[in-house]
Amino acid sequence: MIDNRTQSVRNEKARPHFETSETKDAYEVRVYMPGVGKDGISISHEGDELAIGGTRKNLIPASWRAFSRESRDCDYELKLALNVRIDESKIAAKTENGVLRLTLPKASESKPRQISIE
Amino acid sequence: MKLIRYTYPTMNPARDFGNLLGDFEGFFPRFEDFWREPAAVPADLYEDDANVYARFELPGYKKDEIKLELDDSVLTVGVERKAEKDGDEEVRLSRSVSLPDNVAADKTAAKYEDGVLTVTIPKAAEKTAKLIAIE
Repeated sequence: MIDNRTQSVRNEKARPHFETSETKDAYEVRVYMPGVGKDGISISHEGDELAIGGTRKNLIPASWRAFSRESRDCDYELKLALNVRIDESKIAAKTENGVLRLTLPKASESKPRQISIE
Repeated sequence: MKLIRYTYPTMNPARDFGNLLGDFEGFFPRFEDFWREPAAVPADLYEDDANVYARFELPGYKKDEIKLELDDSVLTVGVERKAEKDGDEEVRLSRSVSLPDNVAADKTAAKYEDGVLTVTIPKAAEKTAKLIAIE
């Protein structure tokens, strides 16, 4: 049981703050993960789940002693359940200054279709 | 009289309380998730033998939108973003931390990387008491 507990502390993940928006052709997700660079990001899409992982790069050196802390050292994990159809092959991702910007293009069948009356 | 240096609390009381509830995790919502919301700019303070370090989590800004000010051992970080186009949000944030007294403010250096601002302030040379010989 003790083993279980230590494990859970070490594997603790923070859920990052995120925002979503929608344009005509795509959904956009912005994930705020300070301390995570381009190399620390993993994105996977399976079924209806979009999983985003972020590993911190600039950890605090062992020689630093903390006076006061408000941030956390743990890595980030965000799992989003998608209730919209997206075009998986065209997912685009860009990261800048600790913010990951994901563009999820709408699948063609989920775009509104114009039906002409003959 | 002996002077004891004040040690800043290194633990977040909300987190401790959260740990207390750890056994019931999944049943209760995490307490710290409510608690942490108001701190817009999380700030950390560290030291080693040579320097004092302040770190701020500021994801998503450009270097020139961040301003640093050090006034009488109070370090203030300000963020200002003007709305350039419609729909942009105007941002104005500021956060101050008090530094220990023995710092050499004029040698402060700062670095912004992956949304984390790290400020390095060297410690000033300790003033050693001068022994005066009695003639």
